[in-house]
Amino acid sequence: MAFKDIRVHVDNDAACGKRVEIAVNLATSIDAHLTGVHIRRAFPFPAYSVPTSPDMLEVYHEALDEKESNSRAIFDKVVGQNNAAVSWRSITGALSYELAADARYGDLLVLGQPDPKENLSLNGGITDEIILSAGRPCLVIPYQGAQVKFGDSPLIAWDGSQEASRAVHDALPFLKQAGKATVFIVEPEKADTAFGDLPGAMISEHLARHGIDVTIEVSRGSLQGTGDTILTYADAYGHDLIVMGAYGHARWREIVIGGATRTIMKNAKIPFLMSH
Amino acid sequence: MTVKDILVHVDNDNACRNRIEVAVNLAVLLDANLTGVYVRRHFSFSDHNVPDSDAMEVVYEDILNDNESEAHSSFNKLTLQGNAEVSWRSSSGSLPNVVVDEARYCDLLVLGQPDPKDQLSLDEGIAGEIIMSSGCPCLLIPCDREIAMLARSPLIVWDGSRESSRAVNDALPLLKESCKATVLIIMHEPTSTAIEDRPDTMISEHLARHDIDVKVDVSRESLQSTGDKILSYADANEHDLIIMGAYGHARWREIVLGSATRAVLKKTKVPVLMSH
Repeated sequence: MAFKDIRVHVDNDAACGKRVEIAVNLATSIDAHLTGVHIRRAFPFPAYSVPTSPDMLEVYHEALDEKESNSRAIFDKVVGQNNAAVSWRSITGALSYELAADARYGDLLVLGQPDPKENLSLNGGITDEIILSAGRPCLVIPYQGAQVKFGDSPLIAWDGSQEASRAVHDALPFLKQAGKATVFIVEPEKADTAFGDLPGAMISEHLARHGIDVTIEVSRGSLQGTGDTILTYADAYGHDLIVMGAYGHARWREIVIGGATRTIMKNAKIPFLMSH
Repeated sequence: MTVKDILVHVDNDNACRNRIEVAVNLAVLLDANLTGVYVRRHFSFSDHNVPDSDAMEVVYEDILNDNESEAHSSFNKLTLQGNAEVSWRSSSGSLPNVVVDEARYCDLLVLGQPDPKDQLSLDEGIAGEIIMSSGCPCLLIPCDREIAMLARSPLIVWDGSRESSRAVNDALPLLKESCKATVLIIMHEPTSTAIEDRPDTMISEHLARHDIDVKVDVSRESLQSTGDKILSYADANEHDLIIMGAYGHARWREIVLGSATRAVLKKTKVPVLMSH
């Protein structure tokens, strides 16, 4: 089953053009429909805490209009004229809420990695919220050095969790396209099943039935945190896509284990697909 | 997603035979392998300070062995005819944990509906736990019925939530096999999306991109609870499968929407595919 319906978040951040280019390239190569989604951030403060005047709101809305037409221009420039395989949506509301709600009508949402140096990029907290509530996989494109072609050598960060399982299954179209994947296990005890199988054995068998050749790598343990271990490994072995589950279910785990998710979100230099 | 690996929970409950039959039919229909997972319920007599616990453990082991071989031979008999690869996985432990551990490696989990009249069926709480932690779609087969085929006439319940989105996407392989599917839209809260965007158009557009044609209906205001609305709609329109999201994420939604999940789990007379 392939991705047929892709969303890409379009905004005024510097990395947007490249992100749209990657999304278009992906959609074209797999014959999927691409929707550019722009969110007009509704004035975020309720009138009782930030009293406004009609003039103020007008200025605010003009700024929104400008952002929207800039975004549209970036999108149109990449997709070209009269492209039947694309559409445009502009939604007014809260950024993470609307982007996540809209993503549910598609197969995959392409987002930009937060860029600490740019206000206009999504900030880390917003990307987390989107990934947690979209119910769809999110492909996050690094703000620096992103390549248009990617996915030949996927790396699956596997820890036996339900989020990891969701991510792997969500990523199947990418994994099948590559025909192969490395399953990378940082903490083997966590990936242990109740059945005492070797770490990674069961997921490899399952992926093999989906036509994917799997190599299993168990980390020897390192002084780095899980997230950095994954990124170092990916870099050392030339992987060009990371697949991983985002955030455990329980609140406390989001703080402790979420560390890996946050590290990847912050430091990855290759695209990563995250699901929750 | 494609279904290559179906997992069916095998136990000594009365409804097990039909459940295995349905799983076999699905494995044939979707050209998938079938695994039966059996849980030997662990109980430590010594931990519970039961007198003469050593002797009790031996007797208990015998009972577990008898139960398991009964279930196993029933499973073998019922799976004889298919061409697909069939496996048996049995482990000692707690029921939800063992099933959930195994579910990481499947594309679809087949469970039995809790049956208040059969102590050996899943209890509601355990079924709920499995659905929430499996990380894969769960197909619940109603007790007290002989189900032969399903998915000729599915009913998709859409409420714009993350879970709905999971369920629809998880159900794609089944929807492709169906003759006609209906989407019943139950929107709980007004969304701020543009006026011209309506959930009915958006969901049917999305499914059309996957070559699935649906009829869309919008649920009317009524005094019925959501769960009952779904069940009576399915009954009135003779649907043979319900596809829905299970348990919302946010606490308040678990109380409100959770009740729809619970009502359907408890009272459905047709199979339900639930995803969280």
